[in-house]
Amino acid sequence: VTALTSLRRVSSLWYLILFAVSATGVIWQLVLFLQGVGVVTGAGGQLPGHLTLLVRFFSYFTTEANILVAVTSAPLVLRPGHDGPVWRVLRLNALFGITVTGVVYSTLLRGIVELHGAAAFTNTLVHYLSPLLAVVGWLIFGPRPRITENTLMLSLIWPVLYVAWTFAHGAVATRSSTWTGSGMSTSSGTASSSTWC
Amino acid sequence: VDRLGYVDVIRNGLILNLVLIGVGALYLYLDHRLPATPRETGAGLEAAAGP
Repeated sequence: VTALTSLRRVSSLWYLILFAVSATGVIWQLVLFLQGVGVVTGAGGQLPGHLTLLVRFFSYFTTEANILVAVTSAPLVLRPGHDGPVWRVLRLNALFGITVTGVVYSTLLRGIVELHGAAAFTNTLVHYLSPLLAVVGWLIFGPRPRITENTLMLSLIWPVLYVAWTFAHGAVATRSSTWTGSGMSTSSGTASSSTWC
Repeated sequence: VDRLGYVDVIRNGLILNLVLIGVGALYLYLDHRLPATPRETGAGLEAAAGP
C-alpha cells in the first residue's frame, strides 16, 4: 500500500506538471498571438482584428489538443484513478490529439516558421513537452483500463467536427484573406505551406 | 480548377481523421494490453486485477 501511495503521489505530481505545461502553453501562446506574434497576415502585412485572431487561435489543432490535455489532466491531480463516461471520451481525444500534434509537428511542421524568445518557449511547451508528458504519463500511470470500443466511437465526434469546422472556416478565410494559401507570410517569418496546426 | 485549395483541405482533413482513428485504435489496443493501474476503493488504493 505504501508503494501504491507513493505511485499515487508521483502520478499526481506528473499530471500537475502536465496540466501546468499545457495550460501555460495555451494561455501564453494566446497572449502572444493577440500581440501578433506568429500571426499569418494578408498581402499588405496588416494584422487581423482580435475576434478573427481568437477564432484562428482556437481553430488550431494544437490549441484544441492542449486544452483537452489540460482539462483531462486536472482531475488526475486530485484523483489518479479518476473515471467517468464523458471524461473517458475527452481523455482519449486528448491522448490521440496530442500524439498527432507531437508527431506531425516534429516531423512535418517544425521548420516552417522560425521562432524566437517566448514564442519558441511556448512552442516547446505545446508541441514537445505536452505530448511527451501526456503519452509517457499515460504509459506509466494510466489510469487504465479506461477505453472501450464505445469510447473510441464517441471520441471520433471531435475530429469529425474539427474537420467540418476547418472546411467552413477555410472557405470563409480563403475568401477574406490569403492565410490559407501556400507561401503565406507571418509577422515573424514566412511559412512555406498551408498550416492548421 | 481548384483555385481556393478545397481539394487540399478535404484531402488533409480525411488524412487527419484516418490518422486519428488509427492512433485511437492503437490506444484502445494498448489500453487492454498494458497492465491495469491500481484502483481506488473506499479504504484507499489496492492493486487492480488483471484485464
